[in-house]
Amino acid sequence: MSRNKFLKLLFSALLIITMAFTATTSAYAATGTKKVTSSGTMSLALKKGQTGNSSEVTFRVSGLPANAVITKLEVNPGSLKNYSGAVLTNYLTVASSNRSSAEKVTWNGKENTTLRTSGFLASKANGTYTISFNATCISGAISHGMILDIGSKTYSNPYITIYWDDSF
Amino acid sequence: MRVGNDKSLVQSHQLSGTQKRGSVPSPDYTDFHFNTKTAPAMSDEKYKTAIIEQAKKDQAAGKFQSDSAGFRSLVKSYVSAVSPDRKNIISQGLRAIYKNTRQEPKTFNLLDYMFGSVKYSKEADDVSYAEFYDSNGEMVASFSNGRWISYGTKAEDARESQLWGIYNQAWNSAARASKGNQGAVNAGTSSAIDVTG
Repeated sequence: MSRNKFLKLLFSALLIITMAFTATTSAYAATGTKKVTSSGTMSLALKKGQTGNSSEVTFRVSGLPANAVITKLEVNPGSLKNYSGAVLTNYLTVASSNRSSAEKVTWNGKENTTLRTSGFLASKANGTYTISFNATCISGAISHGMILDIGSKTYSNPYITIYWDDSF
Repeated sequence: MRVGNDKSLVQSHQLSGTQKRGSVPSPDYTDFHFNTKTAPAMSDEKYKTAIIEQAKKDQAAGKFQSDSAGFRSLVKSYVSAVSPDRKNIISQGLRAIYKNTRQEPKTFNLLDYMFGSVKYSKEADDVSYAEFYDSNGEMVASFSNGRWISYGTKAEDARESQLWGIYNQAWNSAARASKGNQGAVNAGTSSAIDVTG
């Protein structure tokens, strides 16, 4: 067999395999996971005694099948980038463009932890998600031996993991 | 105190209406993300039929769930039937906050009123933060950084999940039926080719 003939045969075989695979993946329902990271930060600065919500981080999820729905949604709020004073984290808020209200997720402020939501099951997976945290400033920062009136906290590199299914 | 990060504030949905009480704008109750109690537009049986019909229509149009304005409107109507009376909880809560002439620089105390309770901080007339609770003790909304967030109650979450379940099943059935019809058309086409060939 000549080299050209062999290459032609090899190319045809590869083409058939590719077409068969494409047909299989489009004919049957799929499941999968998608991790979406953000370079944004959630941060807040509060006066002593005050409670407030941090700035938001937004995640845009796209590229999944149009009818993919969430089977599980996990949030990793990221690393504690910096803090000053005693700022007590109360909870995390998770919202989605596909759900009519936000969900309050229990969180004590521990960094790089996996938080599981419960209210997004069966909602559309592609969309925009936002997270922010709620905290109370118990005590201000200490600077040059003096206790200031303000405390702050910032988390960086948060991400979400979407488990999806398009056969629901 | 206001929290900096203008970029995220600009990008986020403000959910605020045009009315104001003190420094606080009232939420936009017509928004998809902010429900308040309304009388159901139809019986649950009729809602189920409407959800199934919406799913079929959306599938045919290549839309899914919130891509469709009809779906969003149906969600709002269906969920609002079990929503707490956020409008009254918030407006009466703000009235109670402004009626209280004492400054509340700390956010620790709960102020009870007829429709629920509110936890807030206020300096002069500036309300920097408020959490609103219904009579069951569930937090239904918060106001911070000039922005409203609506939190789903257990009843609202359960009802929205129920709607997604009915809709997804109907949408996928419609997709399968459409694929089946397409297959039948294709089969018909190939047999015609066989005959003529």
